[in-house]
Amino acid sequence: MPITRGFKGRQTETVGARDRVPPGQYVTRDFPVLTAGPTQRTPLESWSLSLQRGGELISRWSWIEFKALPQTERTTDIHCVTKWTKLDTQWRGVTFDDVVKAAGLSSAPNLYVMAHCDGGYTTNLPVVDLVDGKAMIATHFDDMPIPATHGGPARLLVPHLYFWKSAKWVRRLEFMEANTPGFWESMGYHIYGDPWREQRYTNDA
Amino acid sequence: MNNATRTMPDTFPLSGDWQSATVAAFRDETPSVKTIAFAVSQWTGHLAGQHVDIRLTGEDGYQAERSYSIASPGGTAALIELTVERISDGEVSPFLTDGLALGDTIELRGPIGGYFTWKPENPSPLLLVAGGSGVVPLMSILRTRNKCANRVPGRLLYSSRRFEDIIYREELDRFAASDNSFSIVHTLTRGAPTAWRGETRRVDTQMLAKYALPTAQKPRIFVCGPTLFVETVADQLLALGHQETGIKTERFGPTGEKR
Amino acid sequence: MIDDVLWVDGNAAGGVLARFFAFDVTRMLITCDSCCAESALGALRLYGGQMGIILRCTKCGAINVRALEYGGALTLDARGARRMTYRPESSAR
Repeated sequence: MPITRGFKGRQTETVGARDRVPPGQYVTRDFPVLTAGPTQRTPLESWSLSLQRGGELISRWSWIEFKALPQTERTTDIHCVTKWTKLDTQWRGVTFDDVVKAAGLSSAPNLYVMAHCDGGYTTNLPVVDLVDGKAMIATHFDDMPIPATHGGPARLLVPHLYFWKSAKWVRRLEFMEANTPGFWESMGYHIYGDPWREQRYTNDA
Repeated sequence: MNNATRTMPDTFPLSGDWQSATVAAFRDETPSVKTIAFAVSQWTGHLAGQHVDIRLTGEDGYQAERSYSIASPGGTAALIELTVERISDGEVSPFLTDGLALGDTIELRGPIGGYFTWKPENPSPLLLVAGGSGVVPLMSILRTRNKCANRVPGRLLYSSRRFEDIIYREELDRFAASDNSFSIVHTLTRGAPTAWRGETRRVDTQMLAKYALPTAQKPRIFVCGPTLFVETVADQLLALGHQETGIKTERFGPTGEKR
Repeated sequence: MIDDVLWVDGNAAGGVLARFFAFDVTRMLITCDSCCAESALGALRLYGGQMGIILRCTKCGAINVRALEYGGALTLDARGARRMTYRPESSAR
């Protein structure tokens, strides 16, 4: 592909951080907003998070109930399939493990989850990628409530996978038997999305 | 059946492939806006209002794509002009305005967007509403109108920040001076020079009520500029009674760049 | 509230889609499957940014067309469009 003389993109030098940047990614200090639709602005008094299986409700929390669950802080790197990587992002929320425990389950069923969000967005994940501290339902970024444009009041955070899996405006986690593709997966993005194996699109290894 | 001769084809073959475009000339328009002329390798031609996608590739393979409206008049010339506003923290525009040299090449795809186009055979009165660099595709329309000696009533309502930010100011003045059927209303939003005779505020309903062509004339209306500007103006035009089918809009994204 | 800066006109998707259609797709008339509103594709609300093409109805916000280009191929999902009409003759109006 022809190189444009003198053009350097916005990405910054990743001195000392090369091993934290997956292949094909560039470090950014911005936090770009990408969205499939208008910003969702659910009032807290209408918000709830549900855990579901086979059409049956396992458990549901209102905002006040959800905030009373154990809080976990996490600093992590995030990687968007559109090639930007942001280092050392700081989050606070409730881990998926604590949600499962609060629902009264001894453990999460070893299946898959479809995350359903306000506005209709969905994404699918194996349960094994949500447990053992790998994922949380985040409510705070940089110690502030997550703004609506970045998925507030609550979004999924699954930083070891491409960031389209960290679904904004999450409202319902549905256990499912099969790994049904969500919104972007059904259009050709990779069903799993491991940035370290550069699994961006369906046919990527 | 109307057999009026057409001055240019209905549409131009649409190439979806990237082709190479070579910088042929520069022209400063304002302190932050520059016009760049490109000789495009396999260009077939364009209609007024269309745009191109451009793609830049860094040495490390990083690519950035943006869309820019074509400023030059509709036609088949293989030399096209893009007018670029330098966005201070932009990734692409500062490179285009300050980093390119004569003879450099970039990748380009187009012409794109038969939806937002105007043809000189169009007999409807023409109302153009521009916010800042949104004037670029509308200038292509006006240059086409001038080139083809179309004399249906035409008006440009053009909002700029300051006097020195008015893009194409002298050429627009020449159009208005030499053509009784065309008029311009300028409005400045951040202060005007002494002896300024244009308007001095953001485009609002009163301004549109005063300067927009009468709804009875069923004008063809084109609105272009930042998203919020276009949204507001389009809503106000509808409230004044203009038909939705007669209004075409082109919104720039938050950075002023179309993508 | 105007959700302003997150979308542009569908016209901007014309470049990506041009590779796969023999005609100017921005001029295609789309009938929304949710509310039956009719609009040129170029006038729909384009979301998605670099992720892909999401074209939403300007009246009801439903997704009319989704498209993703990767590996030189285009995937198109037009379930949200009840009908798509292309008229090759351009009229003077």
